Amino acid sequence: MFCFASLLVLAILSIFSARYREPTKQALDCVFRRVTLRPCTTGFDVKVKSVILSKLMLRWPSVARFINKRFELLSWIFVITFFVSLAWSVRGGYLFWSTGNCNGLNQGGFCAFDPTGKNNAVSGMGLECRTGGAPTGDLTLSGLDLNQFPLMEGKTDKQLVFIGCYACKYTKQTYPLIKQLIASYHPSVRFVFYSTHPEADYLMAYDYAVQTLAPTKYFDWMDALYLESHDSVASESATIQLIKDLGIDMEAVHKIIVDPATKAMTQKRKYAIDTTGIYGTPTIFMNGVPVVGPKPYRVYRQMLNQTWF
Amino acid sequence: MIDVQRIRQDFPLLRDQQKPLVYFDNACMSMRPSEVISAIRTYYETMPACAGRSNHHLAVLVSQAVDESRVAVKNFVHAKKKEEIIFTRNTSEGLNLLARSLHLKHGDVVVVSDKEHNSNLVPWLYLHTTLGIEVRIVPSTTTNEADLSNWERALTGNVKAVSLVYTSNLDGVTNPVKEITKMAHKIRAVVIVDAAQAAPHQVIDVQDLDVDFLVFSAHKLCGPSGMGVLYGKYALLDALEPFMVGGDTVERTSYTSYTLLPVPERFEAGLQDYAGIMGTKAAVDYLSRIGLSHIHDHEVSLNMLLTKGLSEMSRVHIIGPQEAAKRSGIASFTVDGADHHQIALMLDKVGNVCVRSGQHCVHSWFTDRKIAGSVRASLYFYNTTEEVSIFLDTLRKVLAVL
Repeated sequence: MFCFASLLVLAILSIFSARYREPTKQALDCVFRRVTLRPCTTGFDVKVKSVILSKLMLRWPSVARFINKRFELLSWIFVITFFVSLAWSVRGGYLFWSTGNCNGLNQGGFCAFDPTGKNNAVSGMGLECRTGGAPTGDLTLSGLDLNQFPLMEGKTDKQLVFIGCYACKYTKQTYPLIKQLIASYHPSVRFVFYSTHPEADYLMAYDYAVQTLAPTKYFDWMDALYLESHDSVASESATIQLIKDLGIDMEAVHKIIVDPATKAMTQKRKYAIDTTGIYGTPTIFMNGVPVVGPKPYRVYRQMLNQTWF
Repeated sequence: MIDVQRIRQDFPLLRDQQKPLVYFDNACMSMRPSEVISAIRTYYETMPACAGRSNHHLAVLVSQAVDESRVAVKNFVHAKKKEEIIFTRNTSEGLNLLARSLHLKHGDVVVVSDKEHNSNLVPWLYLHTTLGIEVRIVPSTTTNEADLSNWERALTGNVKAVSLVYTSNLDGVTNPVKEITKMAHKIRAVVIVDAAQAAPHQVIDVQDLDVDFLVFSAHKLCGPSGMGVLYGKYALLDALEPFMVGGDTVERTSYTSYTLLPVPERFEAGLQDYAGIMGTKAAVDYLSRIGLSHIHDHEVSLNMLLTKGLSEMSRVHIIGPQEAAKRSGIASFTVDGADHHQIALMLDKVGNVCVRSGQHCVHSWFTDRKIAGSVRASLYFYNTTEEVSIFLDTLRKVLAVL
């Protein structure tokens, strides 16, 4: 039974080292004979067992005795574990390919293909940027009136709701991918600005003012902010200059900003966004399914087109 | 008495070893002393030419060296004349040469023991299949020793040849070749002796034994690999048709005929392994200098120690007689509940002990008794009591796990 498990391991090792090729042939022959209900004649099992026992018996004779007596049983356990582990790895690989994480969409935990967790990284609500996932089962758009946010009309019935922060580096990282997605697949997209960085809180009012005063220039405004550096975004003077560059009446903007109603409105928006349950930016609802953190483009494409699973 | 420590200095592998090596696979292959290696090197370095063909001085040197080797081997087996010695590649080739050259025909009987190496069984079984000869097997006693009454019963009828092993590589038991030869000659059967396991360990006197043919290999007696010897009584050899013909087997040829050279050249077709022939001389000279009776005594004394240790292990069963003296330097054994290959592999891994495991090319004996195989420790004159102790200690440790 041991040859079953050994075969795959040795086959991989023999790609890199010729010394493993002969044992691989023996293991293959052994496997072939076992599946055809014949005894293994290469002595492969005996050789491997001898090597293991010889190493163990000098240090832990009782362990060697235990392994010798239960070698077949242990081989079975090893083989089963091996195949379960293999299946789990294949699943992890598939999940990584389709969701950007070995453990599934928006899931935490270690992923060998994404060891730093960058595909799950978000700027937390009121916190600094962080990595790692969190439960997403409660994320919903049901309590949020999306009509209050700018809409980029698409040519299909595919729907995206993009919740991001101008100061969040992960949102900045994701934004070009979403633009690429829009150009390729033409979904309708709602853009929601939510400040997850204190230095960007002032932008809630400016964002509201630009949306109100110059809805046609809103997407240029948004483009500029997502493409700006973090420091520029945090600088109110740089923002004022940007508004001026966009040809928006700064005096009118100022009036809106100082208007107590604006503060109330932005607070109301923030509370409304909080009802979605999001815990960081970027969070993108793709046809209603929340996708948290910056994912590879293939994930967004598959999620939008609903080609995975 | 043998000065083993001094002798070990002659063997590079024993002299220069980093980790103590216990080499107990001498029944398969012996180690080579420096002087054998040197003799082989001498040929390639100083006279790399043909023998018996060219007339230049190097060729003459090689021809002389081959002749000297033939004389040395003649003396080693106590043959009457050097022409009775034919150089072969190994024991198997010698036996095949005889099997093909004896002109056996359908219905002829060849008698063999029940412990023959494949080399001395398969050639006869092949003739059984192709010519229809009868291969008669003589069973041994329960302790694996020759039963002369069984031999007497077997040597009746149309027996043309008796082909038997001198000392068995399975269990080290030496057959009473002299007595069996007498019985065989009474019915005018030729006697062929496989001495592959006897020649390295005891004095061989073909005249005293009165055997007709005797074969052995050089690699078991400290000689080079790929070298063997066939001894035959001159008159019998002269009557045999050659096994192979071609280069250096003929005196002259025309487009329609040929004249064979006399014995032994007619049996040595093609260019010979001159380095191997010179190495064989060095090997037999080396063994003769030490003394084969001394070698035998040393091996038996070691085997007694080995057998005593094995007998104290309850799961171990020695194949053949329990008395070490009857088994030369061989102790072949099975172990209850443990695989023979695994034991051998672990002895090697744990204690650097080299032994043979399996059926030792005597598959027929194991098949008949439904035994999977055995572990075989085989000793030689360069082995020591300390090595026997290491072997036994390591075996105890291994069996404690298995």
